[in-house]
Amino acid sequence: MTAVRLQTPGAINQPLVGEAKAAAWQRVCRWIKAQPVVEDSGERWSTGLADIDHIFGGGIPPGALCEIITQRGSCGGQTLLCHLLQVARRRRSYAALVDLGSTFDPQTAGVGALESLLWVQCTTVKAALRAADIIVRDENLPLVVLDLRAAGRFASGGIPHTAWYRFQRTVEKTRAITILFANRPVSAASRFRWEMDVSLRLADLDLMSAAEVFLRGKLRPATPVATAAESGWGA
Amino acid sequence: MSAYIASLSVASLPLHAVLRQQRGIARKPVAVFDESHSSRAVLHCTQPARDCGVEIAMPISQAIGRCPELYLVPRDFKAEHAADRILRDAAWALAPGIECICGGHYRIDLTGQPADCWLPRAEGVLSQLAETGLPGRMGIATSPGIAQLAAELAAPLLWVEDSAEFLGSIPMEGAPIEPALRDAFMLWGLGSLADAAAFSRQALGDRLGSSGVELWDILNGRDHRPLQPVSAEVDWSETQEPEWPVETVDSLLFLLRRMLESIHMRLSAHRKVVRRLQLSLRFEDRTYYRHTFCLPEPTAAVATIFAMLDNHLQDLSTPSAIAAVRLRCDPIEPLNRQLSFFESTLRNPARFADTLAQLIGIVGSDSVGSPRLGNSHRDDSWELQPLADRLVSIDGSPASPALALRRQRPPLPAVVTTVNRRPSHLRSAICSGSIHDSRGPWQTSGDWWTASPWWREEWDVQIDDGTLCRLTYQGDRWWLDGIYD
Repeated sequence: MTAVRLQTPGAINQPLVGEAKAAAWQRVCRWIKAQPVVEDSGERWSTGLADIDHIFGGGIPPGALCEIITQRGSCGGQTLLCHLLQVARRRRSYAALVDLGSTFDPQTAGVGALESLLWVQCTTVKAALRAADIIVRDENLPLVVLDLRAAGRFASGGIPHTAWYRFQRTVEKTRAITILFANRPVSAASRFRWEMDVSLRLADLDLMSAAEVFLRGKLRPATPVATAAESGWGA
Repeated sequence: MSAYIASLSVASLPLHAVLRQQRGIARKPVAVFDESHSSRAVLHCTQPARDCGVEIAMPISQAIGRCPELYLVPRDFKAEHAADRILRDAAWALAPGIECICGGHYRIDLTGQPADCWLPRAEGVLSQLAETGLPGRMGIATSPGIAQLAAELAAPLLWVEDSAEFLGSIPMEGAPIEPALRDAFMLWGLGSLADAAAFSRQALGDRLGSSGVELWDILNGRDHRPLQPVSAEVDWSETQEPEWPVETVDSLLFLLRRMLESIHMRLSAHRKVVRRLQLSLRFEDRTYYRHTFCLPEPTAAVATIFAMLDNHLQDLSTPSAIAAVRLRCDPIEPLNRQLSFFESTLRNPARFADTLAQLIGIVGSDSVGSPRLGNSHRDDSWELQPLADRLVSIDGSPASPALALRRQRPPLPAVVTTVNRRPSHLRSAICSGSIHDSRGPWQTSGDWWTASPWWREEWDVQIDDGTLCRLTYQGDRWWLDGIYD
């Protein structure tokens, strides 16, 4: 079977404008949807959520920077993040959360997620990326989650694309499971980029399983980084 | 099981003791002389010096005449003592019964140990000695004299299983015995030491006197005597006072590595690992610097401890040059516990300690750790603790709400309009809109028995753009605690 990547952000980073850009992006989205979800070989990190495992080809691949975009306020991003931390604990794996803005809430994250978690609270995007880089190089913590969704509240100073590429090289080398949460596309080096599309309801507060939440919603391909750069994130 | 004796020695100990203390001179023509002796003759010299014509017992003026580049070093008794201690520790690593024959020469009783037990350990000990700059050599035989002869010819380990065959293989020209005896044997036409051993004791004594009898006893394995064991007092510290003050980190690290290697030999000999290490520096202005390192995982590995010292010293600034260095370790028994099948731990705790130090350097010590819930119903009650060094298997996942909250720290002030005492409209810095569904109020209070009691009323609301929020009414004001996401 031929190995096909889900998305290659660098390749679709074309200087298109207006309707041409929108049309190109629609074509890319259609092409992505038409592709079989098959990835390169290697042990996958199953999330226990069938839908998410499926789009990653059987689980999150190690050594690939995966980007999850949450553009709306309540779309399931934090629930997915906490679920991943709980999965890490169930696998007796350590996890690191590099949290820009200190938005993580231990009380609703689930007790099971805390014991194996190293929580690093940062106040700048640069510090967060640097901390994530150090943790990935350490190779003691197999799961590294970088949460940059609060980037708008802090002076980021701008992260050049080269820094993201360097980070991706480190992730590849150490084979860490690295997941980046952001409210818009930020890294041109991400191997996978998906947008959360789950509509939460007040009744979901009674649920006791993240899987039930994600039954209603899905991840869909996110916009490429070129669009984000034009919107001025992090500059 | 044969009772074996090992002979461990370092040839030219005064020379190697000096060479291991000074970087970059081992490949140069170097000669060691005794300052206290009136003759000032060469005691030992390196091979490059020999190649230039320098010989042992040669006056140093003549040696300089033959080799103008000769690097003359006075004998350093402190360095010799340190080297001898390393050798003693190496001998102890093989067996508890050891005897010091002279400086740099130890005899080890291997009785009771099978060969497949001491042979790999002997190779390991010699390898460690070579790493510390001391080229040790070891001979193993059933009698002490043969073991010593084997050590003289070893490169670096020689195990003699058959003494007669071994003696027959040593040509008389290269036999490591007294020169006078060797010359006499060669005059008699003897080809090897086996020929000398074939004489009768009486005949050899008549012709060569007591030295001949002693040699016959050695060659025929008749030199057995009880060992005079060395007492096992162990000093877990190492001190260096270099001849010149240390002014650079590189020089200090070189010294520290040598000291660590020495301590490592001692630890290996006693099957110990380091739990704490204290570094003391004495400066030329008579001030001191002391730092105690607590190792994340007890270890005896030189590379791990050295990396920790290296990291620490990179940022250290000193008031003046360093006059003396001291390392003192706190040894413990190694933890010989195997992880259970459903248990996991950090891959490399030492590296993780370095990583934590780097993270603390970036974000501060209050912002790194593993969160633990506080013993209170108070909102946002948690504390940071060190990451667990061991994870045991859990059966299933503890019950927890499906939705997680993204907190606003500190909570954002909000303007909430109420209708019939229920929130109907929300306005805040991050989200605003009409509230079309709400749950609450959830009232909690606590610490009423203390000076700082608290009371709050929580509402979970969903505004018209779909955002799920947690609102709090506290202190006559509304706050946005966070967003369910």
